[in-house]
Amino acid sequence: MPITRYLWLACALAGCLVAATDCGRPRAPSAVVTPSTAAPGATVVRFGSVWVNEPRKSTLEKVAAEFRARHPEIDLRVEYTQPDDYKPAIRTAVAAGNAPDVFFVWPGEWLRKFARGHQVLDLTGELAKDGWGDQFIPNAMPLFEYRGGTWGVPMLMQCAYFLYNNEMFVKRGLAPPKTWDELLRVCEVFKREGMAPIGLSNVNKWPLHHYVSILWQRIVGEDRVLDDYDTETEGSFSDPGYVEGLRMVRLLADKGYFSENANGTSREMFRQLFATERVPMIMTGTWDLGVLQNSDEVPEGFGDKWDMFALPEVPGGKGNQAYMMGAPDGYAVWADTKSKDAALTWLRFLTSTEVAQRLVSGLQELVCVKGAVNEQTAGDKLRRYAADLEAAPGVTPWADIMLESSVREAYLDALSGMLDGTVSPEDVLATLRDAHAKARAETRTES
Amino acid sequence: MVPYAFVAPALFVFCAFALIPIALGLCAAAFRIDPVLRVCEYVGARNFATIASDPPFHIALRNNLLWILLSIGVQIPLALLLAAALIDQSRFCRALRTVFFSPLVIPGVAIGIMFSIVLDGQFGALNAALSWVEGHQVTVGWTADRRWALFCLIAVACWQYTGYHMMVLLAGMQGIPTELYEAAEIDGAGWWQRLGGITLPLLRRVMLADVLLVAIGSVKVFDIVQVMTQGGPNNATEVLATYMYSQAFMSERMGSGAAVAVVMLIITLGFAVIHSRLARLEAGAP
Amino acid sequence: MTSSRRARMLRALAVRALLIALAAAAASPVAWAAFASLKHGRDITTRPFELPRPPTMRNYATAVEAGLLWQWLHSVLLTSVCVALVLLLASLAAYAFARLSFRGRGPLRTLLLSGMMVPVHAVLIPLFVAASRAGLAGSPLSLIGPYVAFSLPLSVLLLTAYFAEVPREIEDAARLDGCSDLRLWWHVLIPMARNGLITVGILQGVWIWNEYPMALVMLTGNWKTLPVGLAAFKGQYHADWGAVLAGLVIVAAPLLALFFVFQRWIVRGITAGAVRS
Repeated sequence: MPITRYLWLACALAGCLVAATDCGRPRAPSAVVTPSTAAPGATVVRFGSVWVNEPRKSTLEKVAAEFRARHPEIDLRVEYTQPDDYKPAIRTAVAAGNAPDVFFVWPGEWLRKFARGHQVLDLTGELAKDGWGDQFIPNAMPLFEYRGGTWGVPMLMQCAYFLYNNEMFVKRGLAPPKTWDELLRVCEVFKREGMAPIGLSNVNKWPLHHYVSILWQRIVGEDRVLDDYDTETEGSFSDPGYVEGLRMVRLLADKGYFSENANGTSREMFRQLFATERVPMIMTGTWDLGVLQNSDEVPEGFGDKWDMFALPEVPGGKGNQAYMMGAPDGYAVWADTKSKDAALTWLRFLTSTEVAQRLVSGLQELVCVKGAVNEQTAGDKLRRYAADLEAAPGVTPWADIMLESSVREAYLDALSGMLDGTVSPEDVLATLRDAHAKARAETRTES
Repeated sequence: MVPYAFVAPALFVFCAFALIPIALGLCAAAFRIDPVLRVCEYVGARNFATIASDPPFHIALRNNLLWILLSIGVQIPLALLLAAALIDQSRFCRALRTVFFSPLVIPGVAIGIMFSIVLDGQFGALNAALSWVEGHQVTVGWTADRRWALFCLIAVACWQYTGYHMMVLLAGMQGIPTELYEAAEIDGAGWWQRLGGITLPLLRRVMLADVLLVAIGSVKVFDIVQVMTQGGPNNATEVLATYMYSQAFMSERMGSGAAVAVVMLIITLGFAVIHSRLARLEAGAP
Repeated sequence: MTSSRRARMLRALAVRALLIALAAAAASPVAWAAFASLKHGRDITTRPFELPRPPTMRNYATAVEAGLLWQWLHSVLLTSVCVALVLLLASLAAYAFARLSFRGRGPLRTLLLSGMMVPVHAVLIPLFVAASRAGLAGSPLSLIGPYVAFSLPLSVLLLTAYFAEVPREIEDAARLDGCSDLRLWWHVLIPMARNGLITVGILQGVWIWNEYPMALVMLTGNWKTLPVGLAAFKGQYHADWGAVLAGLVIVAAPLLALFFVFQRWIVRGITAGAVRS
């Protein structure tokens, strides 16, 4: 073929490329945009969601469809992004000035950064209107509050529990442990039989730090811990309880209480260990409740074999021993949105009691709206969790959502080294304090 | 006028999308940049100080150095032997050359994913094969084990690129007149002696260029490491490129990431300068 | 047959056997991946070497559903556009370097060549920030400029060499007839250096196709090229080895097939680049 034809071909392809890119242009950090059935001239509201998997996606679709039917003057467009891709995608969209009007957020430091950069709206005024704020479960709100404002609303809440194989415990005459020492005794029983008592998967680096986080809250106290995590305050992890907590977790590793090669074990493998009854206990979040009761991953009827116990207490610690550990996720409104009222209408709809109930039925997860979890909507384990959450005096967040990104990365890396014995607890704390000090120095220069 | 018109488009694109960004990148290393916080402030050499005192950076430097040494030590001799063994144009040689060369067209990402499955500690095919051979369960962690992870990655890189270097050396060998080999054979020189006495000396320039390619490639390596271990476990396989990525996009310190990029640039240019000096010495020597 | 001749034949045979074994070892991961992709994920983990019974295409269905074929198309489009631009710009510049003399030719050439040494990573962040500000982040348009720019040094170098090899008689004759430089370029040099253009095109095409770090950083949206798409696919389906392997095969097999067809060009281009640099 003569060169000219190559060139024309290239131009044609270029044309296709431009056309194709128009579909994926950063109107969306993602772009599985649902078709709009709104009236022409309708206000566009873009909604950034990470609910790409089932049953979340179809449940959300049904809710969205109902909203569109009720509000034809609003053109609601849902944009789905993989959770792993979400943070960079949203950061890019915000920096480029075209973020979705309402978008998914993880509270804590991540949301605070958006607040400091004036990228999200302060919803305090809105929440006061029509009792919208009162609908939410109180234990879910604190992480959205910052510098006197409320920067988002909660949707789902996840807390950590120890899951244990009831049969295996009963067979050995064991009861679920209440304190950390009791936990160690239970572990020793299993260990003597040659079994790893606690399944652990730390390939993503965050699971191990849950153990440390709860110990820190129990020993050092929930307020002190929050103060230390924060780079804007003076707190700098000077309490001796921090090293103690790290040492206690290191003890678990040294005694061989964790499953083998945890730093290389995937989440699926970890659930398999529990589901095939190779380990009697795992600590995980309520996101696994559904999967471990009824799914492809677990044998038939496995849901009846296990139960949950609350995270163990450390008697003598300065923290409130009845606290749970966990964090919500939720949504925020983009500060530069052009459809503020429509966006808020959608958000209020999404967090209304009746929609929340529908979400609970569909997802079997805890939606942070009062009355969403009840006998009609939820299974018994979920109801138990909701009751626990309501009764709890408070919920302490796991450290990684409260730490600044560079601090978090350094800390989690050091911690996974502590698991395989290459980093001592003192060194982990030193790494954390160093990174924290550096981050604090930088925050000083900000507004 | 006319010649400049011909060169202008290419030069413009190159300046706009390569030179200027490089200059900006050098400058970015002196700033603290955060798009979400809308921050872009000058901090001088602080980013360099930060990374210089950061243990993963030292680990990354050490790992890249190991990568360079081992890659050169493994890939070049192996490539040389293969090129010498497969030098003629028979179908056998051509077929085998193709097999060794083909990994080059597969994206590094795909290669990384493939090997991360084969090398999986629990269920990987390699462990299964070893178990069969040894008769008992073999569960070496390979890339999950801090001691072997880096060497596994380097081995994968060798798998990927040895064929390429084989072809480069082969192309260089084409320039050696066959009479030299024939004369040596008549004199009674064996295969190895011919390789050492004729091929190696005459191939020096090409080998030098090839060594430079391996060195620069080892400094830039990213795809395999990012896909297989992301620099883990616990920074054991951290290399400059993955460290840069994690600083800029996971720890959200773009200035520090740019500082790492500056370091990579300096190292790469350093190698290029060394190479051109050595090449000039070569050209001068008889 | 003399004993030394027999010894030599045996040795040659042994060497051949060794080489074949090496080649088999080199090819085995890819072969295993292809054949394992026809099995269910669970079978791959429990019985990695058994034949698939029965072979299933379900993994491929998963991969296709996840959009890998779309990403194929994206890669094809992006690579074609970039290669076309590179060939155009590089051949224009190469003509000037090969045939025309002008002031600053030497320094300009050195400038261009020095660009070959720079790792792509050095420009990732400035390009990302610039693309964000221009609102182009996540769009493939943000990649065209950098890909073309980074392809230019080597392409100009190679094409200059190829152009220099074209015999001058036709050119001189055309010039005597009053042919302008542009027409010379288009009608004489380009057709005669066609092999060189194809080689350079394939060389850069392979590099752009496989490029990962820049694509990873810039393509934060749903429009992904194949390497980035494959990595994301693995991230989402990492537990389902069958699907991941099927994705791998979808990515690698066509490339390998194209390679076997065009290997002459690819080999020539890549080795020419290395030898001349």
